[in-house]
Amino acid sequence: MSTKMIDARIRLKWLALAFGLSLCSMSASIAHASGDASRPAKRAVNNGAQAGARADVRLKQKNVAKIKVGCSTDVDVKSLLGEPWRTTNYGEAHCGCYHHDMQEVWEYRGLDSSGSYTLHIEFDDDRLAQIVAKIPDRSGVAARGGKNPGFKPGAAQKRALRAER
Amino acid sequence: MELVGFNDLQGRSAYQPIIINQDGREIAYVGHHAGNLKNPLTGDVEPNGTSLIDVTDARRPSYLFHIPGPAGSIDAAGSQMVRVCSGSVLPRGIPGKWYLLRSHGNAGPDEAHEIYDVTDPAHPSRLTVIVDGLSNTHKSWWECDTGIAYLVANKLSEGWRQSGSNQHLKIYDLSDPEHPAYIRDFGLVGQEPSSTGNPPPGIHGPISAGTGKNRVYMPYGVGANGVVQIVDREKLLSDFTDPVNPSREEMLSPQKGVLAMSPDQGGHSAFPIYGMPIPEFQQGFDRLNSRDILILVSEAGANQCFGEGPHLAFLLDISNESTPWPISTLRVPEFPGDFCNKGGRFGAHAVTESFYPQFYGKLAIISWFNAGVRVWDIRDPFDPQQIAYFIPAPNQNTIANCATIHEVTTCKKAIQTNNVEVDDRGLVYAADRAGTGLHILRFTGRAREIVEGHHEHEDD
Repeated sequence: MSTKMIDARIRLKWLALAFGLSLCSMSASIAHASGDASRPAKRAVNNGAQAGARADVRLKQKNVAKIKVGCSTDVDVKSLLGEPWRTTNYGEAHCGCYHHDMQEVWEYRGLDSSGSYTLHIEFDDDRLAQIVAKIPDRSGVAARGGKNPGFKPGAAQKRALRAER
Repeated sequence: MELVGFNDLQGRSAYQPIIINQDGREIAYVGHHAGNLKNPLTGDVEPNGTSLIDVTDARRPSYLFHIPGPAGSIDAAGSQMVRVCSGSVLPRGIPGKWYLLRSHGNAGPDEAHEIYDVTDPAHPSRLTVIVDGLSNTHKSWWECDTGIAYLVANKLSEGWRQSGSNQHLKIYDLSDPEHPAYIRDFGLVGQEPSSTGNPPPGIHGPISAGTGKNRVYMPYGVGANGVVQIVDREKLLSDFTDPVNPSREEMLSPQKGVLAMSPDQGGHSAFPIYGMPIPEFQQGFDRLNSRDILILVSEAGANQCFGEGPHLAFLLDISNESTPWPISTLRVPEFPGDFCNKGGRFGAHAVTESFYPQFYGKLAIISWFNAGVRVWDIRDPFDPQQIAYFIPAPNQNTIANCATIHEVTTCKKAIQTNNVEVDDRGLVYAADRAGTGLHILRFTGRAREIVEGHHEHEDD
């Protein structure tokens, strides 16, 4: 490989990095990010559960909007939203198990004019938020149609997809 | 099937439940995936570990205690697996005591297996760390009448090699739970430290048939490139010189039979049933009119079926151990139910592992993720019939599962029945991976008649 080609590759790498950083400064891509969660919860929203999935009074929409898909780390999310109501990790990203799903999920409970919901944030193996979804309790579904520039498969997903092919 | 009772397990993602008749009390022990959540009993946020629930009154389960899992980073923690033995049954246990064997961590730098004294299930106390410094743990087996424990584990420094799931067996004598005694390491040939080349897949969780049958059944591969191995228990426990670095010959010595599965299916659970009479082969045949059967289950791994085929369960004829052979398939069709669009995983995961006579040789009860609990009448293993199912409803604790398909990301709350188990009263317990809770079920109709012994084969 010639010196020129190496220089060109290095420039391309830096351009890609700069482009990535500029994307990170743009606003977040959040599935179904609508409504106002800033007002305090008036009541517990869980029926029958001991753990009490309560709406989180600290969950402010302006802070949720600051989460940048593909850029914000778990530390960033915690500084914006506080401690999550629940974290879950299926533990298969590191075991070499056959799986496709993301592994670590953080959840916050919220309440807006449409009712109670869960803010669902999935992190990849690099601790970057890759999916941020507001999931209404009423439907249990959040979808982001068309192109989703925020989503990138994590390393474990890439390995699993390669193995599948 | 119908719902009898429910406990939310504090909202923690559940892996494996077992239900123990503990001196007249029915206690459910539930292992959890990694995570953090407030324990309402203490008011503290605790890393997911093991839940202990009194289910004596199945209509009103009472959550007794949460034993926290490993603290710190949650990305490889949790205490997914549980086994319990009575000190009155263990050869050198203390009569009247009860002991919990659990994994401590899943796939991190310092995982372990440990034993708790759970004689008072509301106040468990840690007794022993059997082995630590592990890189992996998973679903172990503990023979209560001998104390032999087959721990799924791996210790990187010892040089064992696996593809896929990075784990093999570490076998211990836990007949005296306070003084564990190491016996040996074992896996498929090609995994021992002196081997070369691409190693075979790691084990998921063995089941021993004990001294009576002298066999251990070992499924490898979890959800792909599956292998099932039938092992002579006595040779496994004695026919070797170097317990950590066995020779190739010592690895093969206990192997009685092995079957490579389709690469699309893995070995997740393998449950033996001996001497099943075959209804259609009773009149004119003078041999093989009863068979030894192995229920072999693969594990689905993809949300919304994206990137994989259906994962199934199989009935194998293992009467000729050197040539195990599939004779039928247990499957749940995608429709009706539209399961690939319901969210989360759809497919097989695990079969019950209890030998209670109400179910043994009659029913195959298998967790099927978003298709819930699935039950087959297997009294004719060549022609199994699905006779019951129960799909719990998601609730506000249910964790959504997301999938990105053709650049569309969808997150859906769906039930993810991870493991299912039975108790000695005939009740069925479904634990949810998605944090929904523990559902206690009972059979109705034809399935109930089979469990209670009132239903005969239609051809009889």
